[in-house]
Amino acid sequence: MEHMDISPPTSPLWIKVVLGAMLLTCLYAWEFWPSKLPSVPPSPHYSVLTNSREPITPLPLEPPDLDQGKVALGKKLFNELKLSHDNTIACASCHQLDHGGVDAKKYSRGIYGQLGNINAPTVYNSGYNFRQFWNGRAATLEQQVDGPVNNPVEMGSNWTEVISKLQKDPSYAIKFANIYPDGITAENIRDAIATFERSLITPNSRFDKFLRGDTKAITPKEFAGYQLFKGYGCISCHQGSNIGGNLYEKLGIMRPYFKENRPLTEADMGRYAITRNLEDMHVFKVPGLRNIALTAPYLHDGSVPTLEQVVRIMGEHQLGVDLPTEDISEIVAFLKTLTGEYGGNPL
Amino acid sequence: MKPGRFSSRQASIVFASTVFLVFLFLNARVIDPFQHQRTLEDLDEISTLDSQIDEQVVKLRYRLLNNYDGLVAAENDLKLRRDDLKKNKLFQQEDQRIRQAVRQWEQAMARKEVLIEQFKSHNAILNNSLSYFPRTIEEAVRLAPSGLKEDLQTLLRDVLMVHAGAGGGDAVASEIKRLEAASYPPELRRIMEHALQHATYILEYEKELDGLIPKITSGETHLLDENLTTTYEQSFDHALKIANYYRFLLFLSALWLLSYAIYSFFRLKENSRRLYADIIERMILEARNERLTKLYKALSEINQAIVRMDDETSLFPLVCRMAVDFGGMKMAWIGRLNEDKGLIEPVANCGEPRHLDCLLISSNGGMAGECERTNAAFRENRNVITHRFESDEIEASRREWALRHGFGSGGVFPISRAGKPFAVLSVYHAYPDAFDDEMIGLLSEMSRDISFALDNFDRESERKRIEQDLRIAATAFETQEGIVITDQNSRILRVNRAFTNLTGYSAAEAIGRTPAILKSGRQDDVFYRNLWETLIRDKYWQGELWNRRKNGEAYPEWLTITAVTNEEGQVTHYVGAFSDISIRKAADDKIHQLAFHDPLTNLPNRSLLRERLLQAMASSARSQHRGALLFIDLDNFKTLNDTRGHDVGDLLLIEISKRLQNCVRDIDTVARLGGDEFIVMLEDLSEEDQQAAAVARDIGEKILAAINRPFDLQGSEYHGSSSIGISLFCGEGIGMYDLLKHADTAMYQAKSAGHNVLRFFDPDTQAQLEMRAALVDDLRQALPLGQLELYYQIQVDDQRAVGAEAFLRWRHPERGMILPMEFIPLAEETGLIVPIGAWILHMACEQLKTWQTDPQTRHLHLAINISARQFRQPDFVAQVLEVLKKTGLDPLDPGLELELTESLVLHDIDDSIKKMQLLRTAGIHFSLDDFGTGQSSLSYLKRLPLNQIKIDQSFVRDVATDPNDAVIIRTIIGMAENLGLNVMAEGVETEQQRDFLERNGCHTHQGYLFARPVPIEEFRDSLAQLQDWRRGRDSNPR
Repeated sequence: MEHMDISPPTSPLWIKVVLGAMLLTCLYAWEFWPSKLPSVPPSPHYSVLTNSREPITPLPLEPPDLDQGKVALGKKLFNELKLSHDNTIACASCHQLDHGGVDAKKYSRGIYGQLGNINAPTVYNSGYNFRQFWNGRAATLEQQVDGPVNNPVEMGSNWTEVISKLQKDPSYAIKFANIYPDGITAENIRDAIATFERSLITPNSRFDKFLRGDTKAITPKEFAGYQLFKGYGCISCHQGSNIGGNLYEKLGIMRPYFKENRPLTEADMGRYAITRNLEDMHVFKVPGLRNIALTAPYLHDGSVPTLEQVVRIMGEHQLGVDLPTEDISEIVAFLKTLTGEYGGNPL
Repeated sequence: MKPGRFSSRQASIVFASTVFLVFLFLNARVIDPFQHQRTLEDLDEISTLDSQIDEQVVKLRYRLLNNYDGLVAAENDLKLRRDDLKKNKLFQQEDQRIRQAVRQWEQAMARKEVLIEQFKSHNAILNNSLSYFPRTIEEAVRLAPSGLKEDLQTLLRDVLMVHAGAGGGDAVASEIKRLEAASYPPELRRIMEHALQHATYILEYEKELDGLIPKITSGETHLLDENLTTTYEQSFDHALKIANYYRFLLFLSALWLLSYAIYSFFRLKENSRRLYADIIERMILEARNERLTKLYKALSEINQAIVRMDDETSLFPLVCRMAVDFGGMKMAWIGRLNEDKGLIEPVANCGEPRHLDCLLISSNGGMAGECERTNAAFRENRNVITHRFESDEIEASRREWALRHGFGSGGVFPISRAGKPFAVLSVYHAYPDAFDDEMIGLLSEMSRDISFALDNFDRESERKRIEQDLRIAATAFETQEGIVITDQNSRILRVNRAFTNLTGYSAAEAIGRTPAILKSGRQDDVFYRNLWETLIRDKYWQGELWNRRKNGEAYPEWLTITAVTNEEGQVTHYVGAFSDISIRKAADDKIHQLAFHDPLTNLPNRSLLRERLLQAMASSARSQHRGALLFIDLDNFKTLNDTRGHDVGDLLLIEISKRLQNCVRDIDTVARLGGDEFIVMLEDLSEEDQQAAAVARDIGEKILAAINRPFDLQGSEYHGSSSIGISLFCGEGIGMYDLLKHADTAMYQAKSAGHNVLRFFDPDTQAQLEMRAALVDDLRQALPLGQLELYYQIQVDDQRAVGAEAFLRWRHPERGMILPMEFIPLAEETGLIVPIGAWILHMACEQLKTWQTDPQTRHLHLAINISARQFRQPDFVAQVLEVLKKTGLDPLDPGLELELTESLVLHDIDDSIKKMQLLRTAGIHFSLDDFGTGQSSLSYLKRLPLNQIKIDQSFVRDVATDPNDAVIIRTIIGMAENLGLNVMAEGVETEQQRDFLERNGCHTHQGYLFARPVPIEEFRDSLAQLQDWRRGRDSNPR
């Protein structure tokens, strides 16, 4: 039919032009859309009173201001066995919240029952540590999460595996989607777990009450222990709100800790394993002493079963003194006042 | 232009401009002013934090601070700011200068961080030594000899001076060396070593820290902070300038695109206007051709439809639809003459308007306008065309109607049927002048075709009707009934196939002869005379008669003869129709057989047996000859059925029915009641019972023996046996059903006596049963007729009358006094005990009330026995309380005692306890009757709210002779004592018994020794006698 040819030939072109003009308008509108105002830069996760008279400061009583959705998700992940290759190990396997945040073992066991080479530090108040791990190789809690997940003798997994396992669980898909626009990613898992760990604060220990002015909170013997703690110089390293955890120090300042006849492990090297700088040989992050009464055995190699023994060792190697037994007993009494509360209940 | 080439070019233009615009857009928005502001804040804050770090370090060095938290916090804040900074695009770009500035700054910060960590560690060691050093010196001084003491004190002072910044470190170091070199006694050596080590550390780390502090606070990082800020600002300015260029370009592009869009729009509009003008012109030319084409198509469709159709109901709507759909008409309708109303009524229409009420048109003229056109066409049988509704001369309202519906022209075409005007076809076209000659010709042809079709329909339907009539007649003739048609002289003219089938005579054989060939001779002449009389009078006869087939067989038939008359009423033909009813007659017989015989064995069934039994009883009543009924039941028949199957069971039943028939005389009846039950009825036996029974027994034994013989069931041998119950009868004195029941009962007795046994029904058993039933009937009447009485027996305590027990007596008008043990079980069984119990309760209470008005009997209580059935009534408590209230007894101590038996109480002990407790609150006492005969357990006794237990008289009777009974009584008394219950002994008849009881602590007695149960009239005498007896005893003690 002849008249079929007469359909308007220019129609798509002018539609295109009008669409182009509309597109431009939209682009300009977007450019100056008022909702694109910047968000306030995030405040630091914590700030600490520095001008206290005492070198040790109490932990804040009010809980840290955290996204509760992330805390809940982080808690679920913290207890999640799927983070390990054979679904046998969760964070909580070694950092047991009802055992002072540790597993009470010399070395922890990972997947297939493999034995680690270092003592698990407590997860309580870990947010107050200036670095993570005994040798401080992780700058943040988020970076720390990578460690155990990928460590072949701990969880022995990798993020690709973990993410694919979590994606098969619909409850995770929903929880992640509610909090993170990009869903289940390594970064979001790290963020959730680290946020949960920042909520693991143990304030209101008897010593904190004492620091806040309640002089009856500790006994004379415990007070004497604190005076010895300061007098012997323990306080030089174990100070601040976490009573340590904010500097590195060499193990064996006055007398060498590592005996000649014992083979050194990589864990024994301390910071040296990271920096390969001889000055960092046997240098470790000074651990915080909060809840120390609950976290036996002690030291990076978990070699010391009791507080008395570890205080004696510290005196000998770090202070160069053989502490008298009565003094040790008083210092230990003081250390036991550092056990705080979690969620309102004594640890 | 080919469409393909066009669109691909277009796509490339769209793609290119999109890429270009996106490119411009992305470049124009490189700089985010808010991001920029935030970066500036971050840079400023970094500088501040850097200074704070320096300040913290210096304060820690001089011990103005005592922990590292502040330092760590500042460092962490700085790192957060640094991370935030990197979110700015400018820091991610390939800009050499900014990258270098960042790198330099980060390296410096890293160096500074290392230094700070060193500082913290060393500072801690220094602080440690400073806090410990004075202690060690002090200790050393305590142990040291006097010369050394001063040296040590000097050393302490010097070291602290060095720490305070006084200098002289080298001198102190040499002093330490000197002291180290010296030798000490062993107890001093160790402490000296420590002191000196600490002193060395203090010197060493003071120096170290003094070196570290300037490095940390050197300001290198501060300079780099500033450098970073400056570089960033420069980069920002540069980027901003470029972005502005892009923005300008973007603006220009937008302007250009907009103007192009406007231009395109107008060009497009002009193009389409020109094209539409062309199209319309062409369309008008084509329209006329199309119209005619369509009309031809409509005509051809209609012609095709006519061939297919049978009547006009579907034709008219089709024509209208064709005229509209294919003929190009806007509307078409067909109107038919409605003769009643004298109107032409539309019967089919198509197109708008759908409702044509306004078109009811008078067919007899006298109306103008549109009606006139239609009428003219209808009456004058011609086409009427209106070429232009707007200008032709028609009625104004019609014109208005036509124009309103958008009709330009219209035509009316007559349709005739059988040469007469029948209907009109009226069509309307949207355009004026649409009805040219060709169109009118076509439409006329259409209406002629319709007329032709209508005539065809009529012819066709007439033909079909006649055809159908013939078919009906033919079918009717060839029915299952034989039909014969004769002339007025009965000569056969025609017969149907059924006639041949039924009689055996072919049509050829029958025609020309008379139906007399069929005569069987079974009817007499009178019959035939009556037949003819009726037929001549009524022209009709109907009835049953026997005829004979050609093969000689006579058969019954049902015959109907109808006389056919002509117009003058003379008979011209006779039509006879008949059916063979021999099958139906046979069926009747069969039905009878089925109804009265067992289908399996062909024996009479229950119904026929009943009939024969009635006859037999009637005839025996006349003749006084005895008859007998034998009830035969096979043993273990069910087992055979279950194990060998029903087929085998059926075989056995058939075989047994044969053997039974062989055992009896011809006049006797063998019947099967169903299952494995058979009945043999013997008639006309002796007039003597004994002889009759002997004959029945003989036959019964014959039957037992017959059934005992082995059976061959499908090749395997089966040994059966049976049980037989025999009941004799004479006359109709006993009902048929009772008779059957007697036989049945006897059979069961036989069965329970072992298999293969024969039993007569025993009249004595029957008599007993009947007597019992009679007693129940009498008992029912006893209460209303006042035949029941209460007797009272005195109860004594310590030989003094304390109360009485009421006993029930039945004074039967024929049988005299009947004891309770004879009729109470019957009353319990029939439920009569409930009204009787209520009566006793009522009577007892009345009696108590009477006693209470007399000082001599005021203290007496009255015990009555309560039956289980009465006590178990849900409202028993309410009944008792009601009676108490009605009789007006003392509510605190009515004096009523209820005696319950152990089995009654134990049946539902919780319910019993509940009821007893309720009644006890109303002052009623409870006594446990017949104690010792049942379970007598202490556990329930403790729970029951009893006042008293009664020792059964069976124990009391032999107490003097049977040591066992004595022990039992002593036990009961002891037990009652423990529970705080009173004990009463029943049936005390002798002094020895009384002595024994008294000796063992039971002082409450009842029995003939004191008084017998007496009617109430004699009760006072009984009391007096008791007093006399007691007085006699008292004055004459043994």
